[in-house]
Amino acid sequence: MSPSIAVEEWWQAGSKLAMYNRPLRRLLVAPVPLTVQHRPGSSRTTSKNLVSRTAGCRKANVARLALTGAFLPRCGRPYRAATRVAIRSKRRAASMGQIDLREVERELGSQGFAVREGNLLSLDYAARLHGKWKPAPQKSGAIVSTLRPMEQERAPARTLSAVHGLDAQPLHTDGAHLRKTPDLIVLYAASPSSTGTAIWKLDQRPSVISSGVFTVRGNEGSFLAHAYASRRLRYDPVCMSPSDQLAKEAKEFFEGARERAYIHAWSAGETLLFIDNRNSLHAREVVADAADAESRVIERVAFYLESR
Amino acid sequence: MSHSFDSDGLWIKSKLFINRALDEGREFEERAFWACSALELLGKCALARVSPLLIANPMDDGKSLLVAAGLAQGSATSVQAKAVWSRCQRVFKPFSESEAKLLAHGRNEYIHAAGVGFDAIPEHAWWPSFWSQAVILLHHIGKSIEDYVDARYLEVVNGALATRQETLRQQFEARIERARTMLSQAESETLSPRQLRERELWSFYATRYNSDVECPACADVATLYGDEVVNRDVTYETIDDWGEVDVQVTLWIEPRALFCDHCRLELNDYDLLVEAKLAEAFEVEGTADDIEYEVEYNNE
Repeated sequence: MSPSIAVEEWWQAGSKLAMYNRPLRRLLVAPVPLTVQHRPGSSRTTSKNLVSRTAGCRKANVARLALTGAFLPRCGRPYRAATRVAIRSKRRAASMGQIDLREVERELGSQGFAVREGNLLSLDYAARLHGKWKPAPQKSGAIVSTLRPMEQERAPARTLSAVHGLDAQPLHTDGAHLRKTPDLIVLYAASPSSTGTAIWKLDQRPSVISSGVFTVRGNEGSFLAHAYASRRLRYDPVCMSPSDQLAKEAKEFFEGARERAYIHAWSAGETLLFIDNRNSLHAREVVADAADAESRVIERVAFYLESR
Repeated sequence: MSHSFDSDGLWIKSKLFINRALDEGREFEERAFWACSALELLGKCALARVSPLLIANPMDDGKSLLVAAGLAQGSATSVQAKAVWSRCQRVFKPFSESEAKLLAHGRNEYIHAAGVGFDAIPEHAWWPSFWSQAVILLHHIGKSIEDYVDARYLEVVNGALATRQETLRQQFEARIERARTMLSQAESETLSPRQLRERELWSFYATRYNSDVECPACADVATLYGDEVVNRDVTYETIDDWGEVDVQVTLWIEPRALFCDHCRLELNDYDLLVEAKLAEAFEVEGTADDIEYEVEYNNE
């Protein structure tokens, strides 16, 4: 996937969600160090430039444009560029077919994960049609986070990579450091890679996972938690440390689960991997291919499920 | 509201401490220390479920109270253990403040002084006593032992509770038998001088209310003592054509102790009263002074 396409999709997703999502409005006006080609054959416009120009206009118009793809505004090129991007992305999403999230939910319930052909746009479209999946923004406000393999020395502090580098990650839930962990995780790969993702669905519930107590090092201070409470898992050995003997046994149980994990191979591009973050753990496999260390890009969106 | 007073946070921390208390490979004193801390947090959790204000320190110019009430943010401190025991006794019957204090007696010694602490009660008696108090609080929180400890410890805990029950039963029977023996000896004038002196010592409970009941040892008249009014009933009856009203006040009193003047049986523990089936609130006749009137408006 070329960088320009990534930005197109980012722009499209950002524009669409800006209408109702305050964090994404912030994302819209944030400078992005990539470039977009706003017209074939014409000069390149930096996204920073594009964004700053459109940011001065009414964002609601931008959002409506992105949604309808029909209305051409009277003001200048940035709007037209954005509109063309929106239309192109929408066509691409339509060509991939619609994702039935109810069917995905059924698969998540039975095996803890589901795989679909698609991209972030088709995911966003399906989530909004479904109405129950609400994106979980990160602390920065961004909804989509980009995951790249990183060597231990280069990885930011308080990340799995800072501890495990390019080695296989331990099974974990995403957002274990948050008071409210996300319900679902969707990983998107635009291109294939040889580094798989291990997924393990909770197949047995030893009492230690609900009676052992872990100390969770959260962003806003530490707190205590069980690995399994209120019918959901919370486990990440990097930000959670066992505080009693039972929790140590729970940790051993999760470490042993790795052998029983399903390995999803990212053999095709434009793939979405849905993971039930409430009842499954997942982890990146070891990055054995040197090329993967540079090129493997996974984009992640977390969701909260809202009861109807 | 601050996390300091969050009842769920207190619950899970209490579980952490009880897990540490039950972990294998620790000395009794360390386990007892963790268990006492767990009991205190369990008490705070139970009180915080009623209202976080019940565990906020009232002595810091209201800062902690404001935090507990959700009206301010920031650091807050909670009340000391002795206040927790006292409040739990008032609110969560039959939790015993004196028993909790006795259990926790060694904790200060353990963490603040050179002594090892926890040598006032032997281990085999400490745990049954501890679990009997913990179960009362769990019951008031709406939880069970199964919610509190891991499945592997259930047998140990239930064993301790059974021991406690058996101990109470034995203690009760021993007191009954002793009172009967002493009475029999007194009647046959075979009491030793020491026993005579002991018999002369009358237990007196300076309580506001008392009631006569049948003594479980000698079947004579014994006295139940109590202070706390758990219920009251006031009826007004017009007794003549002039509209004069007769007020009848009935009070129900939580029993605190039983003493028999005849056989000198003394049951000064709520659990022993339960064994004697005398733990139900007793009824006494009150007076107009026992009616809780609102303070009259006084424009001065």
